Amino acid sequence: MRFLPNTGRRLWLLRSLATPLAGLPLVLKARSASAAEPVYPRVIEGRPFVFPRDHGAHLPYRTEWWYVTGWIKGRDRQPLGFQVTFFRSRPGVAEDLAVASAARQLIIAHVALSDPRRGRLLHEQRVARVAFGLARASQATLDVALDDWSMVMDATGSFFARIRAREFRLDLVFTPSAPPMLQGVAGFSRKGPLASQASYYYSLPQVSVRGRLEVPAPDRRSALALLGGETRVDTVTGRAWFDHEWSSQYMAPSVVGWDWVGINLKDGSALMAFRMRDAAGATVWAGGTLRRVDGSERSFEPTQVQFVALRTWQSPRTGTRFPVAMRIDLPDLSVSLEPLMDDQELDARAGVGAVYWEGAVQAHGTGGLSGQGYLELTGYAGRLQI
Amino acid sequence: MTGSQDANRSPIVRLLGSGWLRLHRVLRLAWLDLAAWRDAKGRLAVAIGVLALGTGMGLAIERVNAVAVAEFQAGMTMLSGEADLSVRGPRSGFTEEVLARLVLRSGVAAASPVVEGVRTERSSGLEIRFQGVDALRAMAVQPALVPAVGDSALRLTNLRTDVVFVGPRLLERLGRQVGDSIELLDVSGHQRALEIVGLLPGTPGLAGAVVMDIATAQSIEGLEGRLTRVDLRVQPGVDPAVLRSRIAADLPSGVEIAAPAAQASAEAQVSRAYRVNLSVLALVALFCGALLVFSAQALQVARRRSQFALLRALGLTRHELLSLQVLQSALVGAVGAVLGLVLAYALAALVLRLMGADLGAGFFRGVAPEVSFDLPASLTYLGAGIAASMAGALLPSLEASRTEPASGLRPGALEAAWKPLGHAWPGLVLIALAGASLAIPAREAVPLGGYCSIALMLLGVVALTPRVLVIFLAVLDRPFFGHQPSPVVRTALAQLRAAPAGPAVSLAAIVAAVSLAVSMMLMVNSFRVSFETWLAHILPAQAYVGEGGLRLSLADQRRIAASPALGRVEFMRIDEVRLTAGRPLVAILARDIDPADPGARLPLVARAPAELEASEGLLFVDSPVAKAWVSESVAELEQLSPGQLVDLPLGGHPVRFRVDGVWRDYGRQQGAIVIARSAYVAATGDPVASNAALWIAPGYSFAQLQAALAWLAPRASVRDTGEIRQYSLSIFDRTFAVTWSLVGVAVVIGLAALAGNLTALVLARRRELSVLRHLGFTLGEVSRMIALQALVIVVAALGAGMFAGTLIGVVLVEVVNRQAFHWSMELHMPWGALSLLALAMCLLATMTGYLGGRGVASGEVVRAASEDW
Repeated sequence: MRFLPNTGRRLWLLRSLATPLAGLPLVLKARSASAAEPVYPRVIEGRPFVFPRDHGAHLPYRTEWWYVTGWIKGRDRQPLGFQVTFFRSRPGVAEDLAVASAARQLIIAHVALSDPRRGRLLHEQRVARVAFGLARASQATLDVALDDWSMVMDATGSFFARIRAREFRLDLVFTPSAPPMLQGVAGFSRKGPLASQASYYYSLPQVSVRGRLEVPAPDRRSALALLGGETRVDTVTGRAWFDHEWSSQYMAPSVVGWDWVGINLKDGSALMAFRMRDAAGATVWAGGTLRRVDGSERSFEPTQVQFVALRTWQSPRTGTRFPVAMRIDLPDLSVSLEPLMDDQELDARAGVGAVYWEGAVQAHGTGGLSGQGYLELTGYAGRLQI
Repeated sequence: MTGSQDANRSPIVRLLGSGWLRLHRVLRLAWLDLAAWRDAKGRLAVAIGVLALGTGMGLAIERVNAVAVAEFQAGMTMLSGEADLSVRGPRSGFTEEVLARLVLRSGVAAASPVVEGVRTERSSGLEIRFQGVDALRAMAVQPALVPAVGDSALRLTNLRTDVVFVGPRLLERLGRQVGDSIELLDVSGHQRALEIVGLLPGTPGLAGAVVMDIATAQSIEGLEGRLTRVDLRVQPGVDPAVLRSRIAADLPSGVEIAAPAAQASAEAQVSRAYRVNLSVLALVALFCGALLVFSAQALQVARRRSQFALLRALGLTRHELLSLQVLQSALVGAVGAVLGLVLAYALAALVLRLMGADLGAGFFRGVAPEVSFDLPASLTYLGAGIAASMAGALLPSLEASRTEPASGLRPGALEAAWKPLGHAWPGLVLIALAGASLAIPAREAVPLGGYCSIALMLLGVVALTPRVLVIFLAVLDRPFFGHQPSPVVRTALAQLRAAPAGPAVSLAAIVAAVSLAVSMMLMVNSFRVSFETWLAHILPAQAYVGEGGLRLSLADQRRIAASPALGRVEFMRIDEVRLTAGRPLVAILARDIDPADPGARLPLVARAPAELEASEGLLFVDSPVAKAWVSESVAELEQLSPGQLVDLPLGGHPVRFRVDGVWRDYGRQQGAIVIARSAYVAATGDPVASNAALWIAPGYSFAQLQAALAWLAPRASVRDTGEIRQYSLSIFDRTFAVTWSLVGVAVVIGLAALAGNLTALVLARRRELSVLRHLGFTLGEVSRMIALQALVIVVAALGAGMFAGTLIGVVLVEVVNRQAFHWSMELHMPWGALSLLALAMCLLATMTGYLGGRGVASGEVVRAASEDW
């Protein structure tokens, strides 16, 4: 079973860019691929973050991604989950040829829509080299694009995502409500037992969303929708979570997958937690951050974050069993997660060779806390293979 | 009841039964009767050989053409994969923005950019056509071009800039394996070693292909930021035709969009005239074979009249006799054709190996197909060989079967039987038709009229041959300068005059062969002389630099010009553009040329009147239109004549030029347009040159010039004009190798027919000869007489053949070549070769006649005279 790192957001955590994030069809044969293996910068503690420059791409690093997940509602007030991701990878090939179109940088983009009435994800994935004026990743600010998919930030700090997928169209405007939440130690986020296993990582929680969604009516067959006409145009509003993370480093070889969650709580606070699992399901590393209503933040040590499976769901398609309902135990806080719908599995074996679960979840915490967020479950369909 | 049933059935049964019986009888007789050919082994062998040659050459050419075109078209369509539409630009490509617009256009499901190039591989010397693709985008359109390497997870290898994927057939031809490298010279003169990391599928079109990353291809071709092709998949539900016209309106000038298959057939169309021409030449060989069978059979019939009469008298019906003869000739044809099939596949394999898929004409560069067995084609040519033989035998056999047994048994009946052939009108009608058919226009560059005319002319001349002989004999029947010819001469001529039919029949094959040989010699000679003159005109400088894809930057140009060994230098930029959608690319030659005196550099055949220029100058002082000189093929294909305006797509925009003249270009059949380099630079902003003409400064030698420009060495070498000329001529000769081999075949046919038929004639007349001997003629006199008769016959054949051959040659030069290739040339008679041919034939005829006469007249006098008829 192959599990390619580009599909799930923190997949990079696993092998990160070592085997590059390598696009779909492509995963790098570790070092032998190119004669001129590039020197990737190391992620070190204490690097200051400067915005908007750090919203932009960090091309020398092996991998990077911009990730927006959130809950939106249309006119019918029914909740929908969405996910828009742009990955950037520097796979270490074509480094020696000074031609603009050489595949030194790749963009991999992924969008998914969770609609409980449909009962499964609508998703699409693309990959392209940064070239031909079609795929780009600006170093000045958040400005990434792949053909007619783009995510661009303006001078006010708002950004938009424009997606023209085969089955649906998204035009969303995101307005952050607070300054970036630097994860780990001032944005230096450890991912494993070794200091080198780390990334630069910040989030924008509690981002308000407004926009337009064009999607086939859920009771219609998508084939009909493809022919046009049967689509529904909806004005949507909601709340999203934005992550931006970049790194060059390997993860611990014992890791087979991870669980990650980011939750916008109703009271305005926000929680991020993750754990890296080994083959036995034990936690190899973990971490998390809670941003309170007053803006103060608390980081959690690996030992302070516990993920407990409450309920599993087995995919009728792949047979994979995912812990779709979970409880996260933190010091002084416990949060239960219940999925918007059980089937938020992404079976991308045909395209990218990975099966994982990435979905909208409802959160209920101790002390009457509640919120909405996204949960990512990787490595359950089998061990990652490079 | 039963009786009536029997009555109903029996006629059919009887008919069937008798039919089978008869057939059986005829077959057995035909087998037995073959023994009669023992006397004519030589003629039979020649006939079979020529039939084999005709069938073999025809089929070989058909196969080579078929596999070349199939491979070429498969290459174009297979390389476009599942594309519904393909956007193609000039050789220099179009900007990448075009791709961006295509990708973002609604209705386009996927777009895959491609950069195509051709380079010579260093160590193998093979010409390699390669495709640079973006593996990530190609997977949606041409997945076959993105093979997984080893473990499928390692597809990132496809994005490497130092690797290639090679088709299995090409790999074999290169003699390399996966893991080895190929070396290609890039535009800046560096050898680029590319590791072969994987195989393409072995399917048609891909088996000989090379695929690399698009960035690699761009850097090798010097096309950074540019693409030469974009393959598109259309979204389901969108009409490709509608999308196509919408996109077409948005493309830069000189870039076309069409379905890949349509483009492939349009490209293959270019070589059609050339291919048809070769096939027609091959058919000519078959035609000669048929004529030889005709001659052989006619003489056989003549010789065996009495035997046939005897068979008839013994109860063989007229139809059975005819079937007998035709069956025998079918057998002869079958033997020849089967030999021909074997020959064809051997020949085709040899030709593909030695001359390439295009027989040296340069149409299918980088295409390396293999001969494949094709049953329909093989059966067709097998049938054609047999049919030719049967057709050749039909006339004489009909005549033989028509003769009444009684008259056939009498000597001298031959003349009466062949009388109708002495009429002039069928031949004259055929020749008149030949002239008229010249008015038939060419279809898709295939000169139907020309070919028709040649065929009719050949038939006409063959039909007229007996008449020509009669007239020739009548002319000879006059006192020579008041001298009465000797009795030997008089007897010889009298004998011919009295019975011209036999010789006349034997003449047909000779005349046909001579006219074909002469016409082709005339055509090739005219072309070669014109080509040499053209080369001298087109290569005025003493040395040249510039080969495959060389790029000379402004700095390079300045450095070259600064060399003291150089007296003068003219730079040229070669580009290729598409003037009309659906037509192949036309070369743009942007040269340093004096617009006032283009004739100094170009072999002009037409020029705009000078007054036009003057008045233009007055009228449009502000916007002078630059001049362009179009090659003959451009003038014809694009309907351009001097004085007209033409828009050339340069730098993606149409730029207006005035056609100032038409020049002769044997170099590029697709057409070429010369413009001033300044005009090209102004339109494109691209000052790079691809070629330089060098004049050595006084006091310097070529070696010194070479030394002075040694810094160019890794990229290109300075070549002496003489060497280039030699090389060009050798290419020319290679292109016409097939034609020359046909001339050779025609000459051999002519000589063989001559020798064989004269021997047969002598044999047929042995009784008359022995009578002459009894009347007191010496052996020497009889031999001289026969020799003289042979000479008379061959002179008549040569005269008729050369006359017809010249006419056919003129048709080839003035009609066929013009229509098929848009090439004009001056007529140049190959006097030397013609005299040699004539001399050889006269000598051979005289000798054969003399020796044959001697043999017959000496040994068989008594026996022949006493032969009981």
